[in-house]
Amino acid sequence: MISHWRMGLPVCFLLPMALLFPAAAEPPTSAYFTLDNGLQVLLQEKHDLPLTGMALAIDLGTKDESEATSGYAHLFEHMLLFGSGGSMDSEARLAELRRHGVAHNAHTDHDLMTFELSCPAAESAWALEQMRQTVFSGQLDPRLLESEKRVINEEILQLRDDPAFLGRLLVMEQLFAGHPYGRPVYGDGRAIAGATVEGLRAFCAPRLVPGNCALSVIGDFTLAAMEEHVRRSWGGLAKAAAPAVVVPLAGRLEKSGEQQISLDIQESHLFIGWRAPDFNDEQRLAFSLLTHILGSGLNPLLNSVMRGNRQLADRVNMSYMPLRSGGMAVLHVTLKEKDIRAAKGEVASFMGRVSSFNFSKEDVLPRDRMHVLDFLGSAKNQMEYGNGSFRESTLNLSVACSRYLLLNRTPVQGSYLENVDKVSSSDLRRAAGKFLSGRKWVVLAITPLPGKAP
Amino acid sequence: MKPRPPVLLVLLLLALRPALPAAIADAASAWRLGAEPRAFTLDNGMTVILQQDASAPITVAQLLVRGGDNDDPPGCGGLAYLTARLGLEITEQAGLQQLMDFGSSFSLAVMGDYSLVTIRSLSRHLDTTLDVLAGMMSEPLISDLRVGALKDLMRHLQKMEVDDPDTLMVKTLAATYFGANGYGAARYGDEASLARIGRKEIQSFFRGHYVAGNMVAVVISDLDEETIKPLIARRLGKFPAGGRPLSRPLPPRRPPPAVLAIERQTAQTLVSLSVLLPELDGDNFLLAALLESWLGKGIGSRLWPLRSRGSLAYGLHAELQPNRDAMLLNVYLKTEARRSAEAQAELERLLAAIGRDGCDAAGLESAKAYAKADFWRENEGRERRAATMAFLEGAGLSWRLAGEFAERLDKIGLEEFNVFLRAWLAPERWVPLQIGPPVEQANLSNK
Repeated sequence: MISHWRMGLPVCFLLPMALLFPAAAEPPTSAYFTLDNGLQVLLQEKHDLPLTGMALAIDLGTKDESEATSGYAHLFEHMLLFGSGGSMDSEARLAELRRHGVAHNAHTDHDLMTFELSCPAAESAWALEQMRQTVFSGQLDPRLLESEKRVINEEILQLRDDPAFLGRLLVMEQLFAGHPYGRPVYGDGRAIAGATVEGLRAFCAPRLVPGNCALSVIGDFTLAAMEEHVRRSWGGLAKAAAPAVVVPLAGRLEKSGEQQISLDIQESHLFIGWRAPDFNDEQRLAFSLLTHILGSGLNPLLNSVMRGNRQLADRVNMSYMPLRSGGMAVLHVTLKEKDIRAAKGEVASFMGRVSSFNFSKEDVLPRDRMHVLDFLGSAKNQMEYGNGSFRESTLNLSVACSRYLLLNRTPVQGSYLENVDKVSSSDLRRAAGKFLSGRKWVVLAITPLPGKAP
Repeated sequence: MKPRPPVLLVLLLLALRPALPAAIADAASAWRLGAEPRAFTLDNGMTVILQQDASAPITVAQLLVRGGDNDDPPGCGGLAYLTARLGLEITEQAGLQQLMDFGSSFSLAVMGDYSLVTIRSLSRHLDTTLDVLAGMMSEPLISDLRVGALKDLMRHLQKMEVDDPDTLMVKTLAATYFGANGYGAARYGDEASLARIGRKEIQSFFRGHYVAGNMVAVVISDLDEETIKPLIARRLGKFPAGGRPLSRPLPPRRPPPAVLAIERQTAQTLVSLSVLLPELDGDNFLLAALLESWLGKGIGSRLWPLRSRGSLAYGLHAELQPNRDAMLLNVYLKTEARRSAEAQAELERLLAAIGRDGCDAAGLESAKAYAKADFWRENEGRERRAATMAFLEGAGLSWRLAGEFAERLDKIGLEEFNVFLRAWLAPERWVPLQIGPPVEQANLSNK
């Protein structure tokens, strides 16, 4: 059974609202439906440039692994992305994709695996079929397996040389120690070294079924034609049940932790991580706005705290990553090694007070409002700009939509921006109180090698 | 003398024009990057390119000033950056508060030949955002206190530049080819140059470069032309009139050493080969962009066998620095330190084969298909699209090249591409660079 609803705004966030408003006089530009085999499909016309972006999200990630299969999901993603498909070998297939102007990639994280593809609009139908073959008809070649193990080793080494990436990786491992999110996406090396084609297939194949996936296609096509392509190309995949995986919610961090490592760098990096709302937590939007206020945009609060009179930092950034069963907020400060201790103290002191902060002009008496910065209004405007900017890329949008379809479990009323607009200053204080003020944290300092600091 | 067309026939054709089939109308216009922009000149002489994009209620303005590393006077590396950054130092609390309230933001990129200020705003707040920023940029407060604070920031940026091997590679190669001046000037200066730069130098650079005739503005917005044109004229009209300064002659290129190596205690070694390409003009830019894409952009590029057969690296890259007087192409990968010699040999072998054998007809068609789609992908968002148009106009190639890129690329013939390859990619022209542990140490640490 296929139904259509009219959707004119960013579908990744409007999907629930669209369900409330079926049918309209003008032809629809978006459609959401589920194929008989269980594959969720979301299509949206976007005619700004002659491009189409498509993404397939699969409910398969690091969360599904054990110690014995650590890194398997990521390795499997490599095998599909760079393997042979249909009747072509790997190199011929990659060359053929380039000949059609197709750029493709894939990513694995703790929750999901995502295959992404961008192509000239005229190649949309062909590319859609290629994506299906890549994922569902890929053959696992033992020679490719050994080659990709070496490539993944290079990938790991590359990330270990990058302090910004390494910091987040280690903070996440500590923050979720004992939880499936505490395992590294790339594995610990041992399990991958012993991986075989049979082992990979046994681990991944049961999870690689249409009912465990969501496909999103956004670009310069007509809805009817694209729906026909999707049904023809993907409708024949067999229906099957995926194994049920229950990942417990991460909950609160019970114990703070600190770590220091050294790299051959000149500037030091301080990372502070907190557990944060999960993807379906009702405080997700409030926490997201709070992160904007604290650590991004033109002059975030933590910038004033760290770079004010004491000049403790050169650069400050705070980010928030909501996952299905937990979330992570990370403050990244670039600073001099001698200032690390003072910077930590300043952050601790500030975060202790942030749950009683006045974020909006509404928090003070009318006569005082002239002199108060409207942090909340500023963050809402930033998010509105970011939303508009993000929607410009068909690939970004298709990836976000496919992931949303698998991660979201909460019926949401209204559009994303409407919901952002509803967040109040008290919501921010509540979120700060629950997740930041006085909460346990994980601290990591990355400093220059002894004797190598300038 | 050409015969003049009959007036009646011209009027008839004009009257029929709206009725022409879309295909014919499309064939007449080669623009293929969103709506066709309009270009106009403000009273003060600033070139403005305006594109309407109704897909989101946001506006991006890219302000390009012809003045980059290459324009730093000898011994004053960092002056272009310091001057541009001073113009973005908010002098009044009220201005900062307005920009913050509106969620507006800005950023700065200084390159070899130009400085680019990116302004982002919700369209409903564009007028005030431009008012605050154009006000600051056109009349920066050049005080010792501010200059001192910015020099501290630049010292931090110097370190960040060294900490990132990709940036260190570009910086090292520019200095290798061009010395300490011109494109080789340190973008964020060094202790000696920062000591030399004072208010006088900054004022002189500002007066010479931050004049309307030396600037290009590209604005992409959902606002209609009637609304936005007067707004732009009012706000960007604040910049003083004035023409382009005389170009600084490029210092003589230095013969590069046989091998460049920078020691770093890292797990991987960055292995690169770089080559100077010709000066920047429309044809050369298209050929170089096609070469960059064909060689090392995306999965399955010509460099790909180093990964698929040799497992030498996770990523393989070709990156073009489109400097006006000499484009620079860097080809690089990162590999486990103990494999750096093998990676360098393989990279040299592959590039030598490419220089020798050139490209075949099927390869060229594939390269064009990928490069065209990739250009659209890269310019799908208005921020990057506006930056591309600003760069092309600022470099004298015309902003129109952005919309005609695909069509112009299609016209490149196999012979033309191969002549370019063989002329510029000869093995003796490549300069190798490695950033990582010394080879002996890498071998020891991996035993």
